[in-house]
This record gives sequence, structure tokens and C-alpha cells, in this order.
Amino acid sequence: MGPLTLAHFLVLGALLFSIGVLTVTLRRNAIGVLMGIELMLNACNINLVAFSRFTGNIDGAVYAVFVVMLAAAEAAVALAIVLHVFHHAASISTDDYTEMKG
Amino acid sequence: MATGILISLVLLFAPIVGALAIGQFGKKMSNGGDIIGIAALGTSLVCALALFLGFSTFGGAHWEFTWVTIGGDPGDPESGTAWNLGITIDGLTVALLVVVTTVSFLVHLFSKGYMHGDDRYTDFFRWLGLFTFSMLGLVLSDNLLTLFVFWEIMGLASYKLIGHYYFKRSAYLACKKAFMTTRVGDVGMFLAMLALYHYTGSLQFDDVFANAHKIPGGAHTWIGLGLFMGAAGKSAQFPLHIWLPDAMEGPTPVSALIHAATMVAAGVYLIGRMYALIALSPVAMLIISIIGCITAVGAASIAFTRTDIKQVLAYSTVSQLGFMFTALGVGSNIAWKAGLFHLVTHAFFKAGLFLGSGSVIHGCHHLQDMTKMGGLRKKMPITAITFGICCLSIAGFPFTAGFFSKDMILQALWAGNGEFDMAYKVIFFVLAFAAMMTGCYMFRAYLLTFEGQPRDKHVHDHAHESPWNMTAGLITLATLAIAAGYYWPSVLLDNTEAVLPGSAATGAGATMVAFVKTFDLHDPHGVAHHAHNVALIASLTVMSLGIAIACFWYMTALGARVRKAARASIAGIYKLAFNKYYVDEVVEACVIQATIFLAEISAWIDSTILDGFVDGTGSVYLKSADVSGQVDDDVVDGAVTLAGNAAWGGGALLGRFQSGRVRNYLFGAVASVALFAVVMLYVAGN
Repeated sequence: MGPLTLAHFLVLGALLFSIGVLTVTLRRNAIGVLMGIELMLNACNINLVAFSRFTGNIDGAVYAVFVVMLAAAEAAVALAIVLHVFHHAASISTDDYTEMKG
Repeated sequence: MATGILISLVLLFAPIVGALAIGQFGKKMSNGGDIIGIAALGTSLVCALALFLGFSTFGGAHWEFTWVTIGGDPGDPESGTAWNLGITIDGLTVALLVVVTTVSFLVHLFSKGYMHGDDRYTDFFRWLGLFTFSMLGLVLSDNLLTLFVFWEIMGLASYKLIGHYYFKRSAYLACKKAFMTTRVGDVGMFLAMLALYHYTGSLQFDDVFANAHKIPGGAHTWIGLGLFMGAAGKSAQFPLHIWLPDAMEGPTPVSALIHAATMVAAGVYLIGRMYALIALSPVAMLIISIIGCITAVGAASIAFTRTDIKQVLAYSTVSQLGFMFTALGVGSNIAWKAGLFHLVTHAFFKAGLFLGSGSVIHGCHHLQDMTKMGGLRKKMPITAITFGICCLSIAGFPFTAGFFSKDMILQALWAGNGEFDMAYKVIFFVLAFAAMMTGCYMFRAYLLTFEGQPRDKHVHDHAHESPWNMTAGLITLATLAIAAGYYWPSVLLDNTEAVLPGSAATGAGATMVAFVKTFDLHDPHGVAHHAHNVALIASLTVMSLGIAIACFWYMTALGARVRKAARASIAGIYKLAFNKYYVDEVVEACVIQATIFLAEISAWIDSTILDGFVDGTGSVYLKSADVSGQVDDDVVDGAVTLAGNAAWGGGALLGRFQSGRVRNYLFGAVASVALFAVVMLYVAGN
């Protein structure tokens, strides 16, 4: 096996992102959806860090730190919303949150 | 303001104030308010006498005020047409004022006794006051407009008084008939007034006379006849006389007032007042004379067939009014004086006769049928003597008032007016015959009532003389029935130049009077003097003949037989006269039925054509409204509903996509981005 190239990381990132998207779109559990979002964010982080490493530019790594921070904040807020919605609808299945139905 | 005007205003308003006061307080007073009415009329009487006695001192007077101004600039009081109303006092006015107030005062006094115990005693005095007020106002008016207003007020008052016993069918029919019949005449009078205003621009007597030359030739006759139509209605001339005999349904004092001082005097007064104008048309004058003559003879013949004492007097009034109009219709200064002089003397003796008959009716406990009376002279001496004097006066016995006036009427007819002298000579003979009938039927009434043997013992036994307040009037009137002949013509009516309308004025007024034939009354060889001799002989002859025939027929046994035989031989004529020449029936058939027929046609036109038109229009609108409603519902509302439905349907359709599930939205977003990416890659690839 040859040395790890940028393409390996990008593929990994794309796979992770795809898994994240599928998780978000297909999971019914709200917590699962949040986990999918984390997957997508981290797939982006992999890309950022990978580009930063291979181009020697530190900017991407800094972005990745911001994204991690942002993900933490997002998780806190999102979990609070989910908790609130659970109180309201007595369910964490996103299929039960259909008040916007036309 | 002249003293005379002030006095006349007091005179005019005393009766109406009295009537209002009676209406206000009468029912609460112990005597039913009669004292107010008598006091009010007493005031008027004193005022009238003051005017009468002072007339030679302060003479006539005229006072007017601007009632309304029509058109013109509101800021400028001088512009526009001013309507002046006012009071005029001249010999004619004063003569009538004295007559009206005297008779009305005595009637008030008489009513206190006659109407005693009547349920509507207070109302009676109230309407009596209004009646007198309207006549006084009519006489004092200086223009046709207020004259007409008072004329109509009088119509109302007479309606109420004739219908005093309204619970009797005959009484309410009579008051309705009186009101409606006089209304027929009023139409003509009103048209004449409109024409006068159209041509002369005024209704004030002086202005009308001054501008009479502006009236075109043919219109004179029509205006004169129109005024006469009004006068004929009020003064009961053929064929509008039918209401007067029926008006006997009213209480007897009212009959006295109607027949002597008010109502019937109004028509004669109108002609006398408008004389200078009507005399412009000799044709109209001749027609007035002929109608008067027909009335005089016709009514006199009917009077023979009546057995009700009041009915005899009623027809005698119609007949005497015919005398007045016959005289007025000649159109000379003698004629004018004669007609109005007879009005004055007639007022006194006819009021005396009516109050006398009232006294008889009162004394006989409301019996009016002469065939049940007889021999009452011993029971009621004052009534009998006064009634007799009045009968002599109306028959034209020498040195009574009626003698002078009737003499003058015949004189005027014989003298003629230089236009239709032959016609007036024919009328002279017919009228002389009527005068003979007058003496005859009046003495028939007197003899049947007061002389001979009592025909009904019960009535005779219970008859009694009336109290002083009734006999006082009788004595006064009987005195006046003689005295009026001496004082009146010389003081008031003789002074033609001051009295005859328009004659005192200069200019246009002076030319006006030229149309009235003026005879020199003092020339011993003149036409007037000659005519007077003829009239004197004629009147004395007919008077004596009339009274003699009556005495022969009703006092002697032979006369009674002759009378019965005569009646049998002229049964046809008797029946005709008894049925009043069927004038009532003819009027019923021609006028009333025609009116009803016309009304029915009008009603048919109204209900069928006019209503049909209105209904048709209505239904067209209804139909178009239906169509419009349909369009509104279907087209306009349809469009709105369609828009709404489209929005609704579109919303429902689009709403299908809004499942409300987050993952579906997200899937849509991802799919969109993926699609976008694919497209971008594809575009970038090329």
C-alpha cells in the first residue's frame, strides 16, 4: 500500500458526509438526526484538516477548531430543543412532529 | 288710524273673542257661557251704532296693511308685489254692520230662551259667535281675498249650526247639502277672482275698479256671472237654492240668522259691492235679473204648498232674495239702492218672522205644522202682533219698511237701464205677480197660525207666550220692520255718490260708474219719477190683492170652498209646486249622479290605467331586478367564488407536499443540492 494521499482523506470525508446525510434523512430518532449532523460536520472537519496538512496552510486547521466549537454549541442548543419538543409531543420520533403539515 | 277703523276692529273681533272665551270657559259657567256671547254681540252692536250715528260726521274710512310681499329683492321692501289687506267703511258697510249686529244680538238673546236645556248649548253659542264674526269680516273686507276667506268661514259655521242636531239624519244631510251646494257656487266665484287678478293685478275693490278697463270685452260677462254664481250659492238663487229650505233643520234662531243677517245677505252684498264691475256687462246683469225673477216666482209658488211654518218662511226668503237680485240686475243707481235697501228691510222683518215662528214653535212645544195650529193670537198676543207687523212689512203694506223697498225695486225695473228696457218691463210684471203671491202666502201663514178656530185642542190648550228675552227681540224687530223704511235710505244708501263703489274716486273710477245708469231722483218729470208712480200703483194693487185673497181663502167659508175647488182644478201645478218643481230630483239626477258617474270613471281610470301603469313599471323593475340579481349571483359572485375556489384548490394541492416531516424536507433539500451538483458537474464537464 502506498503512502496516504489527500484523495484518501477526501474519500473518507465524502463517505462520512454521505453517512451523515443518510442518517439525517432516514433516521426517525431526533437524537439520531443530531448524530448525523455531527457526522456531517466532522466529515467537513476531515476535509479542512486534510487540506490544511497537504497545503501547509494553517487556516483550515483553525477552521476545524471553530467547527468543533460550533458543533458543541449546536449540540447543546439542539438537544435543548429536542428535550423541549419531547415534552411537548411526548415522542422523539421526527415523524410525529408534523404540525407544519399542509 | 281713524276712529272709525278702531271702532270697526273692536266690532269685528268682539264676537270671535267671545266665541273663544265661550269655548274656554263656557262649560264651567252656570249659564253655559251664553252671557259672554250676548255681551260680545252687545259690544259689536254698540260699535255698529256708533259707526252708524257718527257716519255723517266722520264718513267713510279705509285702512290697510301689507300682508305679504311676493317676489322682489328681500333687502328692498319696496320691490315685489305687495298684498294689502284692510278694512273699508262706507255707507253700504255701515248699513250691513248695523243689520248684522242687531239681528245677531237679538238672535243671541232669543237663543238664551229658545235653546234652554239643549245638550250642546255652549257649543251653539260658540258657533253663533263665529258665524257673526265671519259675516262682519266679510262686510268690512276691502278686498275679495279676505272676503272669500270670511265667506268660507261662514260656510263652515253654517254647516255646524245647521247640523246642530247632527244625531238626526235629516239634519246632517241638510248641513252637508248646504255646505256642498254653496261650494258649487264658490267655484264660479273663485274662478272670477282668479280672472280679476289676472286682468287687474289686484283683488282690492278700489284697484279692481280702477283697472277694470284692462279687462277684455267678453271677460266682463264671465267674471260677472262667476261672481253671481258664488252669490247665487250663498244667497240661494235658482238652481242653487235647494239647500236653504233644508237648512230649516237647524235650530230656529240659526234660521233667523241665516235668513236675515248672515249667509244669504253675503251673496247680495257681494253683488252690491262689485256692482260697478258687474254692471259693465249688461248681459250678465240681465241674466242676474232673470234668475232672480225665476227664483222669486218659483219659490213663492212653492211657499203656498208648505204646511210647516218654517218651510213657508224659508221659501219666502228664497223668493225675497230673488227680488233683490232681480233689482240688482237692472244696473242703475235706483236698482242698486233698491236691492240693498230690500236686503236691509228684509233682514229685519224676516228675522222678526223667524223669531216669531221660533216663539210659536217654542210655545207649542216644538210643533211646526200650521195645520195643527190656529187661534193662537189670544194665547200669544205679543208674538201674534209682531208676526203680523212683519207679515204686513213683507207684503208691502203702506208705510212699513217692506213697502218702501219693494216699491223701489219695482220702480227700478220700470225705469230699466236703457239697454234691455223691454225685458225689464216684462220682468216688472212677473215680479209684481210674485209680490202679490208674497202677500198671499204670508197671510196664509199668519191666518193659519194665529186666527180662526184652534184645529188641535191639545196644542192650543198647552200653548203659552214666550219669556221676555224672546219677545223683546220680536218687539224690536217688528219696530224696525216699520222704522227701517224711513231712516236707512236717506242716511246711507241715498248717498249713492259716496257709497257706490268707485263712484267717489276720480279718474278710472269715475268712468266706471258711467256704466251704471244714473237717474236723477229729484227731477219731478224724469224717468225715475214716472217709474215711481207706476211702481206705487202696482205695488199697492198687488199687496191689497194678495192680502185680500188670503183673507178670502182662509177666513171665509166660501173662500175655503173656492180654494178647494181651485186646488182640484190645478192639481197638476199644485203637485209640481208641492214637489218643489223637482229641482232637487233634477239636481240629484243631473249633478249628483253625474258626479258619481264621473267619480266612478275617474276611479276606473285610476285603478285600471294609472295603477296599471304604475304596476307595470313596478313589475318591469322587479323583473330587471331579478335579472340583475341573477347576474350578480352567477357572474360576479361566480368570479369571486371561482377565484376563492382556485386559491383553495391550489392550496390543497400544494399542501400535499407539506407533509410536516423534517426528513422529507431535508431529503428534498439534499436531493435538490445533489441535482444541482450533478447539473453543475455536467455543465462544467462540457
